[in-house]
Amino acid sequence: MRSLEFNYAKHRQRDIPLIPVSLRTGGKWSEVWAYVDSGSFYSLFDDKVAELLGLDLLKGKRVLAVVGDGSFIPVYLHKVGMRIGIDEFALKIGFSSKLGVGFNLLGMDVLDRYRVTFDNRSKKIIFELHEE
Amino acid sequence: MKKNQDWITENFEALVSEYGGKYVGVINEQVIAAALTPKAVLEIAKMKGQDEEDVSLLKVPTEEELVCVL
Repeated sequence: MRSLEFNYAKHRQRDIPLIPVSLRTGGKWSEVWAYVDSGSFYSLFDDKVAELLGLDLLKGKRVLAVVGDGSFIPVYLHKVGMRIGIDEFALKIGFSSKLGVGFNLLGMDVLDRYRVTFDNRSKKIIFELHEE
Repeated sequence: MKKNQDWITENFEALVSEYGGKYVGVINEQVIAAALTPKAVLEIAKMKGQDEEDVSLLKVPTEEELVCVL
């Protein structure tokens, strides 16, 4: 089983599970950081990342997602290539101009590929890839 | 890239203070560009002669956004 370790970021004595993921829709990869969010079903990135990837935001499948304050936001799903470490795969992730949080979010759609350990004692997140 | 990763996590608090609300691009353990969009960050990086695949892009939250999330 291959594993990857990422150190927590820290802000005012609080640990923040941020990791870099690479995204692309064709040509070059772009490395974008995202908050590891087991409370999010979809991975959600802001619309500016869609622009970076050359996606036409509104051409994606439109779904509604509930956010922290209970309101619904429109999210547009697009298929992208994603790479974490050397693990490369394709999946649909959501993009929204109404994300309203300060991070891009890595949700359960991605986390399902791994055994994810939040090792708070050593201040690391560990991703272990399930063998096929 | 691993050095960039460690640098970003170690300097996250300072990045929030200086660049909250923007995207930053990090190469060789330093911020090479900051802008409101990641596309603009990469454009600046390219103008500085950098390969866009070497740029690590971080959406930096504001202090207020961190209070809401955490």
